[in-house]
Amino acid sequence: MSRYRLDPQPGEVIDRSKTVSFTWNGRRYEGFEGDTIASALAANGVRVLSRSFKYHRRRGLLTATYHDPNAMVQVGDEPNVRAAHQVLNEGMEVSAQNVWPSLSLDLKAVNQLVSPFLSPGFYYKTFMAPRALWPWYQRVLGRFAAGGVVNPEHHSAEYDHRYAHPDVLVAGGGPAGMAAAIAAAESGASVILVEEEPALGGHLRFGDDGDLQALANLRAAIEAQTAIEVMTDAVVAGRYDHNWVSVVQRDMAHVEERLVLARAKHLIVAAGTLERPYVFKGNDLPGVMLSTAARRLTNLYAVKPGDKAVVLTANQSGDAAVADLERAGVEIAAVLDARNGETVVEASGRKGVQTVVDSSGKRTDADLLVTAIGWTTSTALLNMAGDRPVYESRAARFLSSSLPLNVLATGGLVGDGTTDQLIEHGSAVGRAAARRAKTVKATWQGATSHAAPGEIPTLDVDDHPELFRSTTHGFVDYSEDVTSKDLLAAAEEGYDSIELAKRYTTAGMGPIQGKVEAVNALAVHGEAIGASLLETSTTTWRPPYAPIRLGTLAGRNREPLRHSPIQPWHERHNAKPLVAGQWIRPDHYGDPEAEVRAVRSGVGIIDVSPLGKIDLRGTDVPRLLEFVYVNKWSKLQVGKVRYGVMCAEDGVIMDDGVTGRLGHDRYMMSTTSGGAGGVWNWLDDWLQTSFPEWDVKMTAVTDGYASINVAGPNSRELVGRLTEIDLDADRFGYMEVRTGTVAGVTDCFLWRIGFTGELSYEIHVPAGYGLWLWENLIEFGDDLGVTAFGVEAQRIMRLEKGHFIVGQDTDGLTQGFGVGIDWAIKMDKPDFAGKPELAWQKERGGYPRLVAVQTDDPTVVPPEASQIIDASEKIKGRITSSRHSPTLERSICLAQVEEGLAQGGQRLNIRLPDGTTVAATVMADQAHFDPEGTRLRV
Amino acid sequence: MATRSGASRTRTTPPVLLSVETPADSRGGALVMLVIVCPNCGPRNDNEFNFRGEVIPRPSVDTDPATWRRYLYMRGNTSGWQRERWFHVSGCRRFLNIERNNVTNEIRMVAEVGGDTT
Repeated sequence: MSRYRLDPQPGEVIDRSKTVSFTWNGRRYEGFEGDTIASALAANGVRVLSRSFKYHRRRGLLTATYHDPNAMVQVGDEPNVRAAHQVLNEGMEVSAQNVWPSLSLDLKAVNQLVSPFLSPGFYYKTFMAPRALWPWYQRVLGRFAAGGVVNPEHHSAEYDHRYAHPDVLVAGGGPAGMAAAIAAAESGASVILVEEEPALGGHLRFGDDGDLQALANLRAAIEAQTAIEVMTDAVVAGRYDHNWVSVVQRDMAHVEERLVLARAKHLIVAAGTLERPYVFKGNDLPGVMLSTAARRLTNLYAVKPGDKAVVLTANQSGDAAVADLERAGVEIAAVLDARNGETVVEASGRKGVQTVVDSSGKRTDADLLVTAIGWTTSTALLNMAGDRPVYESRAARFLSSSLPLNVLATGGLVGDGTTDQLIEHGSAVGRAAARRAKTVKATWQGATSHAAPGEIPTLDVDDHPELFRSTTHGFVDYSEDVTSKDLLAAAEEGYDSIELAKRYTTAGMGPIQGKVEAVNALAVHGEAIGASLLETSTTTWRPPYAPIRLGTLAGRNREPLRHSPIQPWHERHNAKPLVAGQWIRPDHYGDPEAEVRAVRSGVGIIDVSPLGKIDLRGTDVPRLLEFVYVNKWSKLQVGKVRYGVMCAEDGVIMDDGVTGRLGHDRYMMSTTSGGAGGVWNWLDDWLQTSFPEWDVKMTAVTDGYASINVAGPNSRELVGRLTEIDLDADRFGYMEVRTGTVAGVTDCFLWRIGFTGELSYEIHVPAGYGLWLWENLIEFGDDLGVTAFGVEAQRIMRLEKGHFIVGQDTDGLTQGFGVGIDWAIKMDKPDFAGKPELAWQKERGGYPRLVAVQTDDPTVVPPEASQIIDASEKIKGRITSSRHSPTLERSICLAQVEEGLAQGGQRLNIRLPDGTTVAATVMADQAHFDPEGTRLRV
Repeated sequence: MATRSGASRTRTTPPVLLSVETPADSRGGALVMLVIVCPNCGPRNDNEFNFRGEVIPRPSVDTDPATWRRYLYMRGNTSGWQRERWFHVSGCRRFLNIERNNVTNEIRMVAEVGGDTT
């Protein structure tokens, strides 16, 4: 065993019976189960963990926590692992980051020699000119950037989300937080207790025998409470409106990380304090560490942090460190008591601390310098809850000042005390939180009276000297290599606002995000501008409090997909899938042009199940239809269907489709596939907010029916083989609807419409029979050559017919009169959605028109969105749809053009993406094929 | 508890203690996730709802363009208490009138459209 590993300690968390081996920069080492990477390295005498960001100075443990700025390492594929937090696992390959060629000989450390030139703003000032050299600068500077190595081949792990609904969520598992959780649970609340470290206890974990006993009692009480869910190695990342709290659970057994989204009826913030480093010359040398870091090493991991120590103490933690180090066999060379005005001026040494100079000028040889000069309150969550923590100079730290009624704070955020006093305060807060959570619950259930919030005892504050910087300069921000000198220089250069100085110097902008350095930066900057910033300002912390992986935010892919009931057949027949919103539809089954020819010459079937379908019943349905469509509906007879266009209140076309009257008070509306949800909401909006007295009952039945369009000259023959419904052309005409039995399935309805331009019947069958009907059509149409066709063939055929598609041939500015449906817009109706805008559109004129366009060269198919230009290259319109037509054996287009170019016979120039131009002509009719519609009316 | 202004209305939910909130400028996150106590469904996260904004009455269709466009595009953009419409699209599908303080996110009234007095 290494000479740095101590004999068993009372609070140690390592299991000496289990050895864990790992490598550090390629060399094999051993630690114990329970060690962190950093403690195992320390136990092996490794003191240098990293090189600093800018100057590549050697750095060792500072805080020995997750938030240690000097302890980021690469583990296998994963960069930026927090070595002082990450528990050691067998076989870990750990290496130093940002070093070249090695940690011990880092050539980039030459930066130190030019450090006077690496002053704040160095990059901005130096690499400004010449501009042309910037790409080169960027490449070279990139090599000097910090951070580990990302392996693009890294197998991405699973991440989870979970929703939780605790009555009380406690952020922080120290004595006050634990006591709060216990008291809240005893008061009947369900509790989630979140602790960032791998075990509950906070500072009690590395405390004395009394602390350990108190911790054991608290842990036993929590163990006994089934209403408390404990999350360790988890961190509350953010608190949002109405106590929406995000918790990141790290290092889970089966997933990399889990994001818990908790709606806490009450939140208790017990985040405690972080120990603050002291600013002096040499304060970043390996061997300079905080008292809590030294105590963690000795008491939790049984590691001797050095051989000979100087301790600067201003509080009990420093005093306790002296005792702990003595017990660990560290020689205490000197104790400097800051409460008596003693302080450290300088630490020096080559690879770590060798000599410490104190304020009396005395030089002491030591390889360990422990500082205990004060605490920084973890106010981030308080900030997110709207608190504006106030600086209390007596305690030399910020304290909570005002919180909303659904948040309480306890522990170090509020004051100081003995363990018993902290537990007493936490308990009172826990009880109050449970009470308030009950009130919230009651309010949610409709109660109107509220219980009084209840009194919360106060917690005294211990006096603490204000200590930030010694008489010398040192590092304020370890992760960004920003010194107190840099901050003073920034102030000198005119950055007299801390917000500007922060951005200029980048203090607080590194991976630690100000947790360790923000207060020192405020103090030093205040010193420079001659005002105490601490008393006038506070830092605003925004979520997340700690880093979250992108995978954690994303969670698992839960995007819903919709398939029609006929999907199994499509898959068996190699349909090429088309993603249409949430729907996956068959684009084609191999050759869309062959599918078109089959429909035009015989019969084809297409699955149009995603078509929106809304069942409307009631005596006022015609009034609703009159209002939401631009055309007339009041005289629609039973058995008839009509095509309608809907406009929004700004006159812009929002949807189209056919609606049929199935019975006296029964209608079926169809919408576009993509518009189904929006139209349903639109109708509900009008019915609920404007016409509540209308008798209309609406049910969305899109998923309730499978829909199959049977199209082509032989469609009547095919459908007739499967139904008793009379399909005779005279008795079931174009734009009519019938209900009945098809293929033995009752409750079908079918309407005779013609999106494809052919005789066609759209059969809507209860969804469970969709596949049955489809397979029947295939089987009974075999001798007719029935062909399944997909969305692409349908799109070609509708383009041949000049039918527009909302959102394809229209855009967010296309109002009703722009698409050639003037015949349908009935301005003599007293009112309908969008009517005033349509009236003004017509009056104003000058709007773009949708026209059919054919290129002179029939082989050129201009890509959609190609521009239409005039002789002076001015844009006059664009191609909205474009295909090769197998029926006409040439290219065909729809285009939006300016009014003056919309007449039939108008010559146009189309600019193609390759820069060439093709000539084209506007057609007299919007339909390229069968403009008279004779094929529909057979 | 913030004071309630205006008379309490039929079918309203009472002020929600949970929504006694904090100045918006102190919350940095773009993520807003409110609890809306739906009169039909109970307390639900706001992502079950569509936000429809300020309640703006529809002018007569015979009106002048300026009035109609105010209805279409102009919003009061009040800072503070606002009467607004939400649609519980992933719940009961009822349109709700809500009184919300858009600075503090306090909600003091939730009622079905037609269920309250206006």
